[in-house]
Amino acid sequence: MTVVLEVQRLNVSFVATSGSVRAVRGVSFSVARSETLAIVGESGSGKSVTALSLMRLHDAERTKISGSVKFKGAELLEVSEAEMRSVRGNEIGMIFQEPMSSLNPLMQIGNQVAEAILLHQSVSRSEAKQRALRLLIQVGIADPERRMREYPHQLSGGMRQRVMIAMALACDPEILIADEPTTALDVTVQAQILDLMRELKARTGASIVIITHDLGVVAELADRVVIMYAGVKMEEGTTAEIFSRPAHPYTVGLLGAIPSLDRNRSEGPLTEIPGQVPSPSHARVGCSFAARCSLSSSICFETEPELEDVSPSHTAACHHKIRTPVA
Amino acid sequence: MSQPALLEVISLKKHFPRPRIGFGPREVVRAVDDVSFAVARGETLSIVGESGCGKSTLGRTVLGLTPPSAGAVWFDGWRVDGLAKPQLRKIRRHFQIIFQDPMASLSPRMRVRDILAEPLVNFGVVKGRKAVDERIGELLDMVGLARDAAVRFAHEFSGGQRQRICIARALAPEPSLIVCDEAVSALDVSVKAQIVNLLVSLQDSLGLSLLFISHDLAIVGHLTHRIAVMYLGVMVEIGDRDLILDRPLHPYTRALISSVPKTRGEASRRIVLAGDVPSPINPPSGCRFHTRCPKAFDRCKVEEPKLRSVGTQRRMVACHLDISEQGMS
Repeated sequence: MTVVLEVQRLNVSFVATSGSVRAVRGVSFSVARSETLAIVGESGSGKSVTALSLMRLHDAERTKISGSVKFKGAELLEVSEAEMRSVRGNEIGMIFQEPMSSLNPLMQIGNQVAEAILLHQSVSRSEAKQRALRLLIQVGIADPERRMREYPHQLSGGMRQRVMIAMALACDPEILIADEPTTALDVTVQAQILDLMRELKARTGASIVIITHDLGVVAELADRVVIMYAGVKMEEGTTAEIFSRPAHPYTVGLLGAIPSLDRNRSEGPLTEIPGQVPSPSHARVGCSFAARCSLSSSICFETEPELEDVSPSHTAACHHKIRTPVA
Repeated sequence: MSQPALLEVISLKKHFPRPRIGFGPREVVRAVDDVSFAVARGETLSIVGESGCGKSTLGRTVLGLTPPSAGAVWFDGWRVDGLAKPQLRKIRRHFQIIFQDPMASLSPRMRVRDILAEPLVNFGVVKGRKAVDERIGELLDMVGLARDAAVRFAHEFSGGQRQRICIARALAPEPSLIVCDEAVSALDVSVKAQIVNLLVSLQDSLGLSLLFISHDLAIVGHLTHRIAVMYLGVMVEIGDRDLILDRPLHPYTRALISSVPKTRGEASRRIVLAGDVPSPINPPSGCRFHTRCPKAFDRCKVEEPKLRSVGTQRRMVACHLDISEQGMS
C-alpha cells in the first residue's frame, strides 16, 4: 500500500494569556491510498485540531505546531504559504461540520464551486461553470441548473453539505478530510451523505480522513480507526480490531457507552465512564485516562504509557492492555 | 391501558401564523397538527423524528409553555390547556422539563443552592431554611453530585454535571411527569451514558413518567417503553418499543430506523429516502410523507391517513398501505 499522508509526532499548542494549552501531543498516523481512516474522540480530544493542523489552518501567531506532516514526500509544515495554497483544496480537499458557515452567503452556488476550480486549474470561466454543474450532478443535487443560481440560504442542510463535498472534490484531491461531516444532519440525511461518500470513494479512489465522535459512522465508513483522548492517540487498529477486540480500557468504555437499537433497559444500564473529559490546560503526569480508568494502578499515574503493538496492525498506549483472544 | 393515563393529549394542534407578506393569504406553520397520545404512570413515551417535525413544540405545548391552537391536554384528571395563569402555576409543580443545553437553562448568576431552592420555595414544597437545605442535599445526592456543589455556580461544572443540576431542579417540586427535550443530545458519549443511566434509575425509584423527546433512536431504544414517530407535525406510528424498533410498519419509521448507523452485527439493508423534509408551511396534500415515500400510490396524494390499530391494540399506524403485523415485503 502506498502511503499518501504520514503524520509523525504532531504537537499542537495554543498560546493563551493563561499559558499555553497542549491540544495535541505526539500524535502519529498514516493514510494509505484509497483508504478511509477515522479519527475518533470526544470533545477536547484534539481530533479537529489535528485535522486543521494537516492543512495548516491555524492562526500561525497563536499556535505552535511541531512534528512532521509528509504528503507525497513534501513536508507540509515547512513549505511556503504559496505552496500550501496549491495543496489546500487542490490535492487535499476538506469538508466541515456546519456547511452554512463554510459557504459564502453572498455568492451563488455555481460561482462558489467554479471558484474552487478556477483557483487551481487554468480553465476558462465557462469551462469551470460547466464542470461545477457536472460536480453538482455527481453529488446528487436535484435540479442542478436552478441550484447553480441560488444562494446557500435557499438550500437545505443536506444539500449544503453536498455542495461542500462538490467543492472539496472539484480538483480531484488525493485526500478528503471530513471534519464531523454528518454531525449537524438528521439521520435520514446522514444516511444519504454517508452513501454518497462511499460511492465517491469507490469512483475516485481518494483517501478519506474522517473526524467524528460517532462510532456508528466509523463502523459504516472506516477501514482503520485512531482513538484519541485528551490530545493523545490511545489506540489504533483496523475497524474490525477496534470493534471486536479493543485493547484500551477507554475504547472498551466508549463502545459500552453507546446504546444500540437491539438492547433495551431490561438488559441493564449502559457502561459508564466515570468523571469528565479532562481540560487540555491541565498539566498531567502519567496516562491522561488514568483518573477515569477502572484498571488503573500506581504506574498509570507516574509514567505515560508508550504505544505498543497488540497485533501488526493494532497498537494501544496502556499499561494494562486488554487482550481478547482472536475468536 | 387498565388504569387511567397520567397525561392524555387529544387532537392537539399548534399553528404559528407567519407575518403577512403582500396581499396573499396569511401563511401558517402547522408545527403540530392533530396529535393524540397518552402516557401512563411510571412510563416513558419517546417522541422521535427529524428536525422540524414538531416534537419540541409538542413538548412545550403539552406543558402549557405555549398555548395550543386546538385540542385538549388532560393531566391526572385535570384539563390543563387554557388554564388561567394562577391555576396553571399550581398544577405546574407536577410536570417539569429538562432542556438540551444546560448552560442556557441555568442562571449564570445563581449558586446551585439558589437554583434548587427556587422551585422548593416557589411551590412551597418545604418550609424553613433548614428544611430547604436538607432537601437540596437530598436532591444533590439523588443526581450524584457532591453536597458542596450547592455553593458553586453553574459555570464551574462540566456539561454532564450541569445536566445533573437541571435534573435536580426538575425533581425538586416532586413532579410526576418530566419532559426531557433532547436532554442528553449535547453531551459526549461517555457522559451521555451516565445521564441516561441516571434518568432510568430515578424513574424506577420515583415512579416518574417521562416524555422523552429525541432524535437519537439508539438512546430512545435503550430507555423507552413506548415510541411515537412524528413527521411534519403529525404522528405516523405509535406503539410499544419492541414493536416499533423490531418490526416498524410505517415506511417512514422503517427508513428512519434503517438510517441509524450500526456498530454491532451486520449492516442491515438501508432504505435511503430521497430529498429533504418538506416545509411545514405548505405540507404536502394527503399523506405528508407521500413526496418521499418509496411506496406511495394515488390515494396517498389526496387522502390523509388516520392512525389505526394494526394487529394489536399496542400499535397504531397512519398509512394507506395494506400493512399487517408480519410486515411488508
